Amino acid sequence: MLQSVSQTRNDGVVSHVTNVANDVNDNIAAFGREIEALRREIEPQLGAEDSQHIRAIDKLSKRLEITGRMLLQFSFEPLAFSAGTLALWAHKSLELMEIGHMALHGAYDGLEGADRFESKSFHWKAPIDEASWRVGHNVRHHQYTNIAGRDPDLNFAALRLSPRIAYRAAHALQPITNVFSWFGFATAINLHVTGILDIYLEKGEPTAVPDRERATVRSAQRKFASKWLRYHAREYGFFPMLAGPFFPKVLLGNWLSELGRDVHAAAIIYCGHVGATDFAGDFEPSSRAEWYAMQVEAARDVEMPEWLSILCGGLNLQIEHHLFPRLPPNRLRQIAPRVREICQKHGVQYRSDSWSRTLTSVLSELRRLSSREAAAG
Amino acid sequence: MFAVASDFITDLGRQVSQTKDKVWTGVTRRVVPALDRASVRLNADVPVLEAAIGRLDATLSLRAVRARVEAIHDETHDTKTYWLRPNARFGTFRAGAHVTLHLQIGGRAVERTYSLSSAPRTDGLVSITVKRVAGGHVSNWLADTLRPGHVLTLSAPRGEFVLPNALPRKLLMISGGSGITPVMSILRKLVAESAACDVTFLHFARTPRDIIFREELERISQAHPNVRLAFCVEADGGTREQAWTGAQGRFCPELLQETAPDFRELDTFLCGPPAFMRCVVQTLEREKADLSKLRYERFTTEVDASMFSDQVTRLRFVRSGFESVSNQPRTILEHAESAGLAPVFGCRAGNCGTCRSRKLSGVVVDVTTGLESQPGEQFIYPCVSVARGCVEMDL
Repeated sequence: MLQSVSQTRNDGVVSHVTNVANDVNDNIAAFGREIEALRREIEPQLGAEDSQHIRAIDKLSKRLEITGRMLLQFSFEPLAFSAGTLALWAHKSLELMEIGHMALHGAYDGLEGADRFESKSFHWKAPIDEASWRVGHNVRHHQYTNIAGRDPDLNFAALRLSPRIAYRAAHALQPITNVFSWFGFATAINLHVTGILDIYLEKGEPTAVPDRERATVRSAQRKFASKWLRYHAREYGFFPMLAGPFFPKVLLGNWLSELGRDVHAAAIIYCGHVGATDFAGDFEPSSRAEWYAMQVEAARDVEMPEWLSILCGGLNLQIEHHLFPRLPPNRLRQIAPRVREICQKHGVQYRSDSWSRTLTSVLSELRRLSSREAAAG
Repeated sequence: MFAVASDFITDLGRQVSQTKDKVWTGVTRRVVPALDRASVRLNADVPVLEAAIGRLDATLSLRAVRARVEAIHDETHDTKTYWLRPNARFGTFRAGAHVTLHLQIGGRAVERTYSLSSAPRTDGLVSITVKRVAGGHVSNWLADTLRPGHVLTLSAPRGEFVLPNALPRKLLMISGGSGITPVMSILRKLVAESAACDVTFLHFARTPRDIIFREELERISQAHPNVRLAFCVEADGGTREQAWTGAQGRFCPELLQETAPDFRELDTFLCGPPAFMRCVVQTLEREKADLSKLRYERFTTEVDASMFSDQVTRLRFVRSGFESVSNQPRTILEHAESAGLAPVFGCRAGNCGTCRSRKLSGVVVDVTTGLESQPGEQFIYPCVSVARGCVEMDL
């Protein structure tokens, strides 16, 4: 629906608005009003319930960490070792998504008793530089979602996530590089948001950093390294060393839990936007309502039970998250049915499917994008 | 023989004492400023040390801003300018700032706030210009008692009545009576820097002989074609040899129209007595001028309460000391930016949370939901918040 509007504009016939386009605009305005009514209803409700939720999740995450690390330190048979790895993996997934990603969005800002999750001072238990993330993700990705050239998350230099991104020879290897990116997902994200990928792999002008001047490169390297090194020194140095002669065992457990977290996060996050509507670089929503519609059409949801959704940090509800980036994940789960209803009522495309089917379609889309011929969708 | 010896000894004694004085003044001239600068870095409040350096020179202090009166000039029949040399704790200031004098008059502590009338100078001197108020306790004490060499205790300079960071191309300055002092400070700074800025300076006084800085202003406007000057007096007074040829009367929109036809879009600086300021603001409001570009200085709270009508929003950015008054429904972020502040922002649409900052008081409306906030202290998103009435921000 939105494409028809943007199409009209791209053809350069702004003054000649057809009746069809008018109907579409009215429809979008009505859709926007309902979304804002929902926002008016939910935002004043934020408070004790949400604070309780994040503290409960935090407590769970801490228990999982202690259990996981103890089991890895003191296990002498494969079963306890596996249980420890799994617990640590769950802890790391919670820290990356339900706690960290949402806290950095400001979802827990101003909630009583949730001071530790204030966005400006929050320390992410993930190897990603928080300040760079807030700019690259909260501002650029969320404001210009799926707009070619403006959304940084469509173009990872060697990876092309939209047919509107210019093709390069390296993209032919995409099915392979893509799989590799899953195994070092958090590191790849850090390389991406700090601008290292842009500086070294992008052929054109970098977008995450202003230029390739010496000082800029230095600062990007410093941002990348400071958090990344500290995090990995803890995971692969400090904790394994505590085990003394069992150093390799703990190292292996920690590495497996990192791997689990990365593959799991990639498997849910790649489902968020790949294969949804993407927009040409000159697309500019003309109203808040159109921006809301654009956010819905640029994202896709994955249906899953609540416990799994918590483990995925609510990122299975990308549509709701993109409409209301500052809403905590428990609220996203609460409003999802109503958002779906509003979208269907006004003919805004609400993509939602099971995880396996979405993942299959995402993987085939990524394969399609590895060929030059992939047409703009 | 004895007389010769006596002369010799007296002479020697005089020479010794002269040399001692010379050495002493030489030492103090070098040591006092060095001690002064050093004392700023030292943040320890040690009473013994404070007393010791205070004995060396009365302006030296570990905790207080002090200044020595260097010179006193008459400006008009009832107004004097006091040139002060403050110690290093005074720091730097922006033209238009004010200081508070802490005085002991008749054994009682009194405080008065005065605008600095000088612009920042390389020799470190600053001036205040004070008019005798009939029956005024402090202004008369200053005029009658204060002499060069006296040492005063005062506050560091502060204030919101300063030029924006990005200098506008045109400025309108309106002052009444002794309210000319901060405006004069700003004008002196612009002239000293030969700023590329057209200034229209409108000053109102009771009679021609009450115009403070008249000669200097006339000199400036003759030497600088970008400065337009207009005086307006209430009454001719009739005491001068030459008759008054300038405008006469009270503040009125016609006069404004005549001297600065584009006053509605100009950055405006206003300072004067409460009744005068109220009159000017109400005229500007009636004439639909852009009040977000108005800056005003006041030393009585009486002005603020009744100066504006209800549709006007008043934003105070407490941390930076700026104040913005406007009748335009712009967001707090936009107001902060037009006041010359540079708060951090991201999406400018209420989504990313980058601009989140603390509101100290007042009610704001979230433009995305239309919901009104609580009146007390809380965090808000300035990029999507519009002020209702008077709002104070920690920015």
